[in-house]
Amino acid sequence: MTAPVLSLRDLRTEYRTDRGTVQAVRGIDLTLQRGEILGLVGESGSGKSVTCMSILKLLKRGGHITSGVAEFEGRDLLQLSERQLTAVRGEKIGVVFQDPMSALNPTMTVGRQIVEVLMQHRKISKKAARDRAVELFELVRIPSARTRIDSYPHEFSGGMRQRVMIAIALACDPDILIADEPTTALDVTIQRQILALLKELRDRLGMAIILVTHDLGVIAETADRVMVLYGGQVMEEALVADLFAAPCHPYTRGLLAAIPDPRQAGRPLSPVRGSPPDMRTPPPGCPFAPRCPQAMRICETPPPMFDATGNPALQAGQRARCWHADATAPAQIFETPS
Amino acid sequence: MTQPLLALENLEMHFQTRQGPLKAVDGVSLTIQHGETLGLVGESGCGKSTLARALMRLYRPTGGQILLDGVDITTLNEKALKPHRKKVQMIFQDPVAALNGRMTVGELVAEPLEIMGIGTAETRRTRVAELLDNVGLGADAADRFPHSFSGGQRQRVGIARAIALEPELVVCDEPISALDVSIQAQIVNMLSELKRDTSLAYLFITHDLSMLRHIADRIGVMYLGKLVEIAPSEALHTAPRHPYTELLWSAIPVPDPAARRDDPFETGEVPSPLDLPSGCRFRTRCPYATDLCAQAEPDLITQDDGHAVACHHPLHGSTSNTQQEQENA
Repeated sequence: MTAPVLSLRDLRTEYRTDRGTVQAVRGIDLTLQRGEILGLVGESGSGKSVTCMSILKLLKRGGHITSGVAEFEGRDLLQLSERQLTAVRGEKIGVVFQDPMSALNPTMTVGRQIVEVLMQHRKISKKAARDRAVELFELVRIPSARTRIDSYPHEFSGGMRQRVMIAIALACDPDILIADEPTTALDVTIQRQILALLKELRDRLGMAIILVTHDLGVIAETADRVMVLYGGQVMEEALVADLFAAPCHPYTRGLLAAIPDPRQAGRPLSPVRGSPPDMRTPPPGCPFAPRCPQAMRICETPPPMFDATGNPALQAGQRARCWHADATAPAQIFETPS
Repeated sequence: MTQPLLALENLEMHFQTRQGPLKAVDGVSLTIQHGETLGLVGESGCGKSTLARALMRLYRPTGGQILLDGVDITTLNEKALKPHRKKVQMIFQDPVAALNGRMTVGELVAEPLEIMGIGTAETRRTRVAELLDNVGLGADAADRFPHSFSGGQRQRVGIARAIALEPELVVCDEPISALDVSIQAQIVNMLSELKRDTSLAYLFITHDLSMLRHIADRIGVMYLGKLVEIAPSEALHTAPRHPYTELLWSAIPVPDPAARRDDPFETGEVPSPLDLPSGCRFRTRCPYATDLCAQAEPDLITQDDGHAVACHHPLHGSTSNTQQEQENA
C-alpha cells in the first residue's frame, strides 16, 4: 500500500469547562489514503468533530490537544506554529462545516471571499484569482457562475451556500478535504446533490475526503471506508461494505438495528438502551459497556483494537475495540457477565 | 365516516413581509381521525411547521377553518379557546429550548395541570409521578433540573408535559431530529406505546421519511405551502403519485452500500416562496412538466382508493385529475 496522505496516532483532546474537563478524544488512530473517502460516524459527544478540528488545531475555547501525532507530508501538524498552520489550512487541507452561513462573511461578496483565499496562498493577480473563482463555481455546479460570484452569502439558498463553501475549500487544490456534517442542515434532495458532488470532485481531483456524519445512510452512499466513534474512541473500522454486511462491535450493530426497516413498518423499533456516557467521567473500560447487551466483567478493562488476525468474524482491514473480537481469549472470559 | 378529531378546511396562513405576501400555508385541507397518526413531510420552507402552529392556534389563520371535534376554533379568542387548548398539545424539536431551566422536572410537568386548575397540589404530585413513570423517567426525576438530563431524557420531560392533560391530539414538530440515532428509536417506541389502547392521535411532522413510514398511518406531503399528496403510509411509499413525493423518496440515503447510487441527481432547488411559479408550484423541478402545468394549478383530488394527489400527470397508473374532472363533468 502507498504511504497514507495523513496519519494520526494516539490523538487525545480535552475541553476544560466550568463543570469539569471533558475527555473528548481518547487515543484515536487514523490513516487516510490518497483519493479515499473516509467516513467518521458517531453520535454527539463521540469525538468525531473534535478529531477533525484537532488536525488543524481549530479547537473552540478550552480545547487542548494533550498528546498525539498528525503526520502530513513528513511533518507533525500538531507541532507547527500558528503561521505554518495557516499555510496548511486552506492550501493543503480544506474544511467545510455544517453551517455555511456562520463560516462565510455576510458583508462580503462570495467572489471576494474566494479571491482573498487565493491571493493569500498564491502569488496571482486579482484578475487571475477572479477567473479561478468562476472556474471553481462552475466546478461545484453553481448556475450562472460569472454573475453569481458577485452575490452576497444571504442571496444563496442553503444548498448553494454549501457549494460556495466547497468552492472556497477547493480553491488551492487541497490534498485533503475535511467535511464536518456538510449536509446535516440541508434538505434530503439537496443533501443528495451535495454528496454526489463530493464523490464527483474526489473522482476528478483525486483528493482524500474525511466525511463526518451521524447518518449511516450518508456513510453507505458516500464513504469507501468508515470509522465508528463512541466515547472519544474508535469502536470499529472497516470498508463500508464489510461494516454493513458484518458489523462486529455491539455498538455498530446497535446503531444499524436502530434504523427503521421498511419491511418491519409498524413494529417496535430496536433502540440502543440507555444514554451516551458523560465524557467528564467516562466509564473505566469500554465506553459502551454500560449500554451493551453483551457486556462481561472484562469489559471494565479497556479493550484494545483487535484485527482480523485469527478471527474469521473480521474481514481484512476490519478492526474492532471489543473483547468479543479477541480471537486468542480463553473461553472463560465470555462466561462472566458483568 | 365518524366525525374527525381535527379537520382543516382550506387553511391559509399568509404573512406580510417587506418583499410581499408570504403564503406559508396556502389552502390546506386535511383530517385527522381519533387514534390516528398522520405524518407530514416536506422540505424546509414548505409550511409544515407553520401549519402546526396555525392549527394549535398559536397564530390566527388568515383564511379557512380549523374544526376540532366539530367546533370551529379558527377565530376564537384566548378565553374561548382555553377549554379547547387542553385537547391539543405539542412536542417541540428542541427539548432544551422548550423547557424552563429554573423549574424542576416535577414543576414543569405539573404546570399544565396548574394552569388548567386540575386537582390539588397533592393529587398533582401523584399525577406527575405517574406521568414520569409513563415516559420512562421514574418518579425520582421530579426533583431534578432539566440540565442534568441528556437530550433524549429532556424530550421525555417534554412528552410528559404534553400528555399531562390527556389531550386528544399531540402535535409533534420534529421531535426526534435533535436526538442521537440510538435514542431516536427509544422516543418513537415510547410515543407508539403511549397511544396504544387510547384514542390519542398524533400529527407527526418530520423530514425523516423512513421514520415516518414506520409510525404513520397516513402521510401528507407538502410543497411550498400546498398539500400535494396524502395517502396511507404504505401506498405513499410503494406507489407515490406526485412527482415530488417520488423525488423525496429517491433522495433518502439508503443504509446499504450495495444499493449505492452514483448519478449526479441535479434536480434544482425549491423556488422562493415569495415568487411562486405559475400553475403547479413544483413544475420548475418536475421532469414530467408540460405547458398545462404552467397554466393551471392542479387541485388535490381524492381518488377511489383514498389516495389524494394534486397533479396533472400523476404517476403509477392512477387516472389523471384532468381526465377525472372530464369524467365527472
